[in-house]
Amino acid sequence: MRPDDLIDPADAEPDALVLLPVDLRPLDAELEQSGARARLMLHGRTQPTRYFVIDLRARLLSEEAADATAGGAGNHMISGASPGPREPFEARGQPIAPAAPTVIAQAAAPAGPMAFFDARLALFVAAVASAALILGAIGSGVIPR
Amino acid sequence: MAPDVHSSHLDSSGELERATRAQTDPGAFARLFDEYLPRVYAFVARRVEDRGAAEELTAATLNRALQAVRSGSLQESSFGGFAYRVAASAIVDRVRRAGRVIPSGVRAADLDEGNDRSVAEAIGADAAARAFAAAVDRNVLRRSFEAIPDAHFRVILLRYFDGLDTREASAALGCSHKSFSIRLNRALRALSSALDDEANSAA
Repeated sequence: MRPDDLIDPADAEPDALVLLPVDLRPLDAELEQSGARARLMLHGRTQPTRYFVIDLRARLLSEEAADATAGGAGNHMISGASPGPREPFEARGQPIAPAAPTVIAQAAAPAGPMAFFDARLALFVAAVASAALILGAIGSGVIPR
Repeated sequence: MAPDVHSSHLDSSGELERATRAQTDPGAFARLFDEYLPRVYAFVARRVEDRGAAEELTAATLNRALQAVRSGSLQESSFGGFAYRVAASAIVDRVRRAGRVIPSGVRAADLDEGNDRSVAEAIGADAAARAFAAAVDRNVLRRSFEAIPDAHFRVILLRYFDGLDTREASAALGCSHKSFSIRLNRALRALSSALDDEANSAA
C-alpha cells in the first residue's frame, strides 16, 4: 500500500502535506546529510562571481528605477489633469476671417531657400547638361544618327 | 551576504508581502534580488556546468521573476518557487535549443511547447545526479539510485540535493504541495525497496 492510499482525494486539500512514515525517517535523515555534503562540496562552483552579481544588480535595479520613474510621471500626469470642469473655448464659435492667419499657416515654415529646392535645381541642371552633351555628341558624329 | 551552503529554504513569512512592496519600493526590490540571486544561481549551477551559461540562465530567470513582481502578475504563493520553476524551464530550454543530450528519463516529445509540466519536471540533469551520488557515503545507497525510476530520483534531487522545501519543490515541479509530498513518499519507498534488494543480493 502506498502512503497516499489512505487519503481520500475528495477530502484532501491541495496544500495538505503527507507525513513521512516512521520507517523512512532514517533514510530521509541520511539523504539530508548527503545533500548538505553535496552542496558543501559544490560550494565554490555554485557561488556567483562578484562581478556578475554587481553587474546584474545594477542592470535590473536601473530597469526598476526607470520603470518607477516612468510610472511615477504617468501617475503625476493623470492625477494633475483637469481638476475642475473645463471652460468652453470661445474662439471655437467665432468665424475665421479670410486674412487671419490660420493655425496651419502659423505652423508652416516661412518661405525661403530650402534644401529640397536646391536638390531639385541640381537635378534639373544635371538633366539639361546631359541633354546638351548627347546633342553635342550626335552633332559631332561621335554618336551615329 | 552569508553563503547559504546547507539549505536553500526560504523564509515563507511575508514573502508575498515583500514581493508586493517591491512593486513600488526600489529598496524592497533590491533586497529581493540580494536574497534570491545566490539561491537561484546555485540551483542552476548544480545542473549547468558552464559558468557563462549558468550566469545567462540566472540573469534571465531573475529578470523574468522580477518583471512578474513589477507587473503584479506573480501568481505563486512563493517568489522562490516561481523563480525555481522559471529556472528549471530555462535549463531545459537551453538543453533543447543547444541540441544537446536531453536529461535522462525525459522523452524529447515531453519537451514540446505547451507541455510546461513535463518541461518543469525535466530538471534531473545528469550533472546534479553525479554530484549528489558523489556525496553519498554508502555504496549500496549510491547503487540504489540507479535502480529507482528517474521520476523518483528527480524528486529526491530537488528535496535533498537542492534542499528545497515542499513549497519551493512543488512550485518547481508545477504541482500542489500535497502532490509533492506524496511523490516524495513514493520515491523514498522505492529507494528503500531498492536498498533492501541490494542488501539481499549482496548477502
